[in-house]
Amino acid sequence: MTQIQEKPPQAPSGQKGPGKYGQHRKPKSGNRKFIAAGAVIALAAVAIVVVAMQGSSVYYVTIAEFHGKQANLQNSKEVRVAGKVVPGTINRNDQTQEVSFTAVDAVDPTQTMKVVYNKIVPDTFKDDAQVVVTGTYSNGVFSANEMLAKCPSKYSSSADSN
Amino acid sequence: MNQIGYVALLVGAVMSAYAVVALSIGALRRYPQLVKSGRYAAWSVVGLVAVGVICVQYALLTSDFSLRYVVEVSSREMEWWFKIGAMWGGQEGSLLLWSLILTVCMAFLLVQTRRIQPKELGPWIIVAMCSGTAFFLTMCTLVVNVFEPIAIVPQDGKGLNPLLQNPGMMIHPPVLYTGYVSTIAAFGFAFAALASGRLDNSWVRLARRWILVSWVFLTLGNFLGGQWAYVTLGWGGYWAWDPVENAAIMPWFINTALLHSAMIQQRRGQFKVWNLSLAIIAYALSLFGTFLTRSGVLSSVHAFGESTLGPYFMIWIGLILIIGFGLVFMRLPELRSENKLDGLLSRETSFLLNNILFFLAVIFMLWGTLSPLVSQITTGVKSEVKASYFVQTVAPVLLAIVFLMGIGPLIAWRRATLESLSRSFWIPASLAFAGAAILYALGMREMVGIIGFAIAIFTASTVGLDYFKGIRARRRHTEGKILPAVNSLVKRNRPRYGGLLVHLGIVIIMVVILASSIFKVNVIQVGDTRYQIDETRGVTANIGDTMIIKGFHEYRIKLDRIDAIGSPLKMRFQAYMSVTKDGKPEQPLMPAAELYTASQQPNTVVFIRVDPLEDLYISMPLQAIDTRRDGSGNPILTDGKPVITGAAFQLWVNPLMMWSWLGLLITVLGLIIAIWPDPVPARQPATERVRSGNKETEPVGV
Repeated sequence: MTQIQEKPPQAPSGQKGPGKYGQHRKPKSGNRKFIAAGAVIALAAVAIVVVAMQGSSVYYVTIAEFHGKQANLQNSKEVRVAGKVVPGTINRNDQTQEVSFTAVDAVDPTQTMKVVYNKIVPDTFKDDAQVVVTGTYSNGVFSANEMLAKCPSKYSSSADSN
Repeated sequence: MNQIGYVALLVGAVMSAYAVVALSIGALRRYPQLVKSGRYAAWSVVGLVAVGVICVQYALLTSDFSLRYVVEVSSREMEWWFKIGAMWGGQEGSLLLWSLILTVCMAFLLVQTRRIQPKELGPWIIVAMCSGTAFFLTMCTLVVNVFEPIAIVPQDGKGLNPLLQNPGMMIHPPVLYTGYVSTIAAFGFAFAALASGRLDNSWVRLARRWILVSWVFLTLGNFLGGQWAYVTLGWGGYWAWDPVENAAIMPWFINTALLHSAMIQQRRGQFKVWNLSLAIIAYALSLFGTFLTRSGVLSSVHAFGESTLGPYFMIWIGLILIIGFGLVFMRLPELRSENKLDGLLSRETSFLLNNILFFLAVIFMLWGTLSPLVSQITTGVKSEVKASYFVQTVAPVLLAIVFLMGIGPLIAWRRATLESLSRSFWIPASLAFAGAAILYALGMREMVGIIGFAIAIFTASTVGLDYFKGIRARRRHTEGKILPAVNSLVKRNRPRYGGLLVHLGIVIIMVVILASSIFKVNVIQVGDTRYQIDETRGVTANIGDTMIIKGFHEYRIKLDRIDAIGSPLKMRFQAYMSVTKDGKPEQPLMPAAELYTASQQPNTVVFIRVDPLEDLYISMPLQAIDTRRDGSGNPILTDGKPVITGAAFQLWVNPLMMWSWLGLLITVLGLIIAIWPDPVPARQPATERVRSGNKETEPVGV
């Protein structure tokens, strides 16, 4: 019912006994084909990852780390910064749809950063929310073009005793 | 009641540990009495967890605010079904849900292993299950405690997060968890084969139905999760490549790979080490997904708060991997393949390639998901990858898999020739090229779209052709009647024809994913200005403004008014927008935004107008509602209510969305056909089915 042909699709060169492939194939030759195919796939996979990483890799730091390492994180390069929204600092401009707020480091309350975001913030964005903003930093203001916000967790304070 | 529940769970943990020890010693030393007592202990765990769950439910339904957990996730005015669902609304309760599903699986397995052949496997499967219950029950009694009392009993609870007060909450988490948890069954069979030394193909045969069960629940869980995100979150999409979402789809990939390579082992006795490894990895990845949501190691919108559970989960996953792969390594000499791979073009290699591709997808996703941790260890600075990384790496792999789905089922076993291939595939290939040409002629210029749709046509038509040929052949025996022909065709080989339907369903879902990712319309015209909306930017409209968006149809949407409706529970802003589709008036669009009074939590109520060709998707975020204000910026109130002048809207046209449901339906239908018990072969003695290399006794082979 199925077409099982005794001839391999392509006879590898340098093989002994060309007429006997069907019955007594050297296992090595078969393995070599599979190893070669595997190597091609592995190389392609690595290449895909390297290319994809180049365009999308972005540093992820806390506000304290950001201020500490600011020199390394060149001002023009996109960076992702995590912090908390300082209560009462959220300001919204109805005309430009711009939201500005001050974020503070989750651990070190002396480390703060002014953030401007010109898109619609998620529902979870409010006072004390944990935020992760992606964007660039210049003249003391962080312009974010991506934002992830999470409500202060009900559990972190009690379950995590540090 | 609460003490009873706590003690029940604690005793359950102890009984699980006892069962593990008793069954292991009983199986190793061959003490049937000890095995029997271990099985009783396992049954008692099933009962004890049920008692624990009933106690938690009782506390939730009676609003017993002396428990901290009830205060956190429930409140008096919540509907009773959300009170039930609140059990998995937080950390502790969701661990209890895990345990519950685990024990339900264990109950089935306890019944299945009563008369299992070979019977050496029986005790070890229960050992694997009880190790799971021991771990999870310890976690939710000693590390965190769902029955923890609160010092000052409040009048009312904080209530479930409004985002979770949605029908999706009642379905998605239990379904996804069932998918996660049931991967332990396949692991259990693999572990049993390794531990008992019965390394023939019987474990694969016995685990097959469990693998399919996990597969269907993981499929449903991920689909419903995406659906829930789509209809509630308001950003117009359904998948954001968040770490937790990735963690939910990775076990699905591995499980799909296992499902396919298991067929090769049943049929040809190959891939033995690989199958055992996949069963172990699938379980480890399920645990990993549960771990990610709890550990706080990665930032995710879905995660619970940081907790002390993380290290325990790490150790447990490590133990599973070490024990699993340690056993595989020890048994390596006994796991020789019964057959060799013959040709580079054959059914076996197509399955091998399928496995490699799924594995690659998981490697890509793991690498991206864990890159913050990897980079922190290697360079000292955390760095993350953005969603584009996942699209660029995983999407090509998925397209290749869809292509392979078309080739795999028709390619010959052992060795195929180019000649036989071209005979099977010239019709689907020509259809695919014709389809691509038509799309190009219709004006489609996106290469990825054209290639993707061509591949989908190719694969769908191979399925169609296979059914067509089979039905034509069968009709000769059924006097030309079609339905009996279909029936007898499917009955002849349920796994094959069910599996083909599953392929078709998946192709349909892939088409929807492709269409909605490439051809989502985000250009809106207000007055003479054109705006482009990305995921988070909105377009501002004042009362009386008209927004125009063009997909297959042209929609003109006029913002008539926005009403503020107050109630003790929440403030609701309801928009009314008259709409015309291609010039014809339609029912108005009614998106809304709410603000919950107690928690001050906003909630966006998305509005979706469904059409066979496209969804019109509109959301109105609360913070972008404009009110008339006085000089100092305070809202001017009329009759105690703010006067609303306009709002910002997020508006998209998503093509073909509703057809994903058809894809899901076909997938599930195909799976039911594939899984349906075949009365005759099921009664065959097991020995005949094991190791069958010939096609007649073993109807496996999609």
